[in-house]
Amino acid sequence: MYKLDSILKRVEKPARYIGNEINAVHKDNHVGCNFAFAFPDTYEIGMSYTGLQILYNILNKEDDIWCQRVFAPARDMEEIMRNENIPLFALESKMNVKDMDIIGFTLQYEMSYTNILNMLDLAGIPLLREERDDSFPLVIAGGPCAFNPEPLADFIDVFLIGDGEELLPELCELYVEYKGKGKDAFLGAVSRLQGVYVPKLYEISYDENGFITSEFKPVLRAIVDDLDKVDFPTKPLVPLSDVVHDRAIVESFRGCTRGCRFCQAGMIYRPIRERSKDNIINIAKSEIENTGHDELSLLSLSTSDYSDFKGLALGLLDYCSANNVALSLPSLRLDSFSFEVLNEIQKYKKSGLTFAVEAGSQRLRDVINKGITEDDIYEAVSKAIDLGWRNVKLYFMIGLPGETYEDLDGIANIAKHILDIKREKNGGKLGKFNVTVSVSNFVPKAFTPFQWLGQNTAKEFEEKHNYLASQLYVKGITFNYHDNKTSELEALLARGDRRVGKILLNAYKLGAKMDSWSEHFDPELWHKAAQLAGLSIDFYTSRERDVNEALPWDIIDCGVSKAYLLSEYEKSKKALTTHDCRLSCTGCGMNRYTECKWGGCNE
Amino acid sequence: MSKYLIKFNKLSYAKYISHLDMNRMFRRIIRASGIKLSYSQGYNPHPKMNFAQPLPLAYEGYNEMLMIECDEFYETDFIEKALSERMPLGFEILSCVEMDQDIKSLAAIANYSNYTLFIPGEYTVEDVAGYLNQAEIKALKRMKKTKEYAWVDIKDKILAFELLEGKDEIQRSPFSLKADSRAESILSPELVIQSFLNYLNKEIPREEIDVERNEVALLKSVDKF
Repeated sequence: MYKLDSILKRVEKPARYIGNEINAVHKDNHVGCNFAFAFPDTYEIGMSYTGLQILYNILNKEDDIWCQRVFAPARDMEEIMRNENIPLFALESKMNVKDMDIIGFTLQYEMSYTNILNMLDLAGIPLLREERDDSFPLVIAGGPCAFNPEPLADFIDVFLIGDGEELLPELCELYVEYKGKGKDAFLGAVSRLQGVYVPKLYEISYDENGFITSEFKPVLRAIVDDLDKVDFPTKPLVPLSDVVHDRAIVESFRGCTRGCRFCQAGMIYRPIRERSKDNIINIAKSEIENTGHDELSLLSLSTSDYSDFKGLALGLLDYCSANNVALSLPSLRLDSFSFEVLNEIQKYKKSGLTFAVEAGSQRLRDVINKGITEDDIYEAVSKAIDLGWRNVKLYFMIGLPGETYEDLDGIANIAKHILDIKREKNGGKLGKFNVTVSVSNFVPKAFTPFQWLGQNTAKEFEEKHNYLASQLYVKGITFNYHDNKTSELEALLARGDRRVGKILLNAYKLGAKMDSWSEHFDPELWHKAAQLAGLSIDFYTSRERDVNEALPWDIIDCGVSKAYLLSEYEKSKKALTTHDCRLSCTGCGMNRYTECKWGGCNE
Repeated sequence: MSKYLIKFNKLSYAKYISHLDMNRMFRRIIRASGIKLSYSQGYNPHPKMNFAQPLPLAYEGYNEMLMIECDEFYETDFIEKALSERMPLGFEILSCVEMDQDIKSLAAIANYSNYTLFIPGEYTVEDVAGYLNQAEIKALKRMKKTKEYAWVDIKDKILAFELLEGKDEIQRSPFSLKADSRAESILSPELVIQSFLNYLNKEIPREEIDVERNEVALLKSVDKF
């Protein structure tokens, strides 16, 4: 302890390395499986991630498993750890990660990949799986980015695809059973579980033009059929220092039925699975009682799509107002009931209202199947202004397929029209009112109908940003946009094949890390890294792919059929929309693998 | 209305939880225990709880004091037990007693604090005597208002400073320090460490020195009866 003790006195925010938060689990480390849950970013980010809480709880329920946490140390801490040879340690026990059985990375966003390599290096574990013998921990990874695992395939022993609640404990159990029998025997056994991808068992070949030629039977993702049958933590970890989100959270449902064509989450979490209303309310109550939190939030892709949203919202509202808990309901669809609820929970303190409009014209919104009209927005904004809201936030994407400069004008016009609505109500004056226009760059993602599309180049994005900036230089409008170079590398890592692992390794060796933090991000390193690997970044990003081309992620089956994605892609070219599948089944193919209980429920 | 004095230890890695973070932690644990704190009036009501003295980051604390105010009455045993069950590793709840209603805050009646300092190296009783016998004991202090460093004389605020016998597990020399803690003349042990090492012409990296606070003594009894 003394060595660590003297270090903690020299670093910023030492509380993030001590591991004794409220509800942290401490066990004897003589268990069958010492599991390091590794989040490849800092404590503040990682502790706000609900998946960590879910899996931490589920693993620690098992007597023979101790799940501890590991985060990427901040720069100051890393420097001291490297200078004084302190290997990466687990927060709870402070034991070296290298001495643990399994290290499991969660893949939430592509720009954290270099942190994975850095954490392995800090732990004293060879980066490449081929260079690790049986004496090293098993390195596994899961989470949304694992749906295209290939760029990390050289570094990770086992990928878990899909829902982890049932699969992860099963993997740990199997690990204990195979202890002493060698890693290869274990890999063979674990590869037979649904949702497990073992890259070592797949050899990838390419033709002379760089296209993949190998064919495989894809790995079907793991699917939890019924959310009420898996545990949700009622005693979550309560961070002691400031983190991004610090509140009680209940996941109300998983999946989304809207079918937006750019949205990966809307595809890979299908089918929609709701937690029962009573279960949600009971979890919320025990969570509040066990943590002392005074804020509660629901987690899902679209809060008000819950089938009995009215009942759920009123039930939670009752409990929260009786117990002085602030309720927050993100991503509401703004119908009259939502307004009633919002007005109730934000009585005195009105935060901003947010609309994910995504595109500037109805034609383009039809292309992406985003079912929101300008009338919907204006009607809601008008109501919101009457009720006293002063901040409206609009989210858009640029670089969408078939986008023209008229669509960009549409973005500016929507923002300006909202100012006009306010002026009209306010005797011609704007008063204290602001519209924030937030523009992100479209990254075509695996397992979406847009997976074949090419991304705009950084230059195209830049031109569009400049154009928008000139259109939005208006009093009362704040314009934000996302960095171009980051978006390019996101696309590279999201859509890359196994060879992209070489770019990643080169970039890391050249010094890239904490790439999601703008102050640390250096795109030049990545371009150099690609050059050294003899690969073209454009091949993976801006190139449109043929629908017959073998895709790097064809190795995975997310449950939604390729035929469905293709038909949605074709419809998008004709700006034809597809309805919400709560109305009736749209044939995505999920029901081949699990019951789709809510499909067609609003028929 | 009831007022309670809760005594606790803050040890081991818990010493890296800042005063502000600990404040929030207690608020949450009290809430989770079903104990309802009284709130102040006004635009921004805050729960009524206060500590005798903030414990600097990385100091271990024994017999630390927290005072809470509640609209309702709770059995002290209940408070003690409820908090004990919920405290994170490194914290120990020692006692809970009902307080005299007239006490407004603990900080206002703090008198002095006892600390133990662990400093690497060999020292003699003469070192300490020589240090204390200086006409003035000058230390460089960052002034609250100007944020600038200025030399101050801390001699009167050192109520006692002694070399203790023996060594700790990593062969550091222990010292006891009794320092003024009254609101208007509070002395930080950091100034004693700094001026003592200065006097001896020694340079020791700060992270090799540890400080424990053993107790904060109050000007008067706070017990209800």
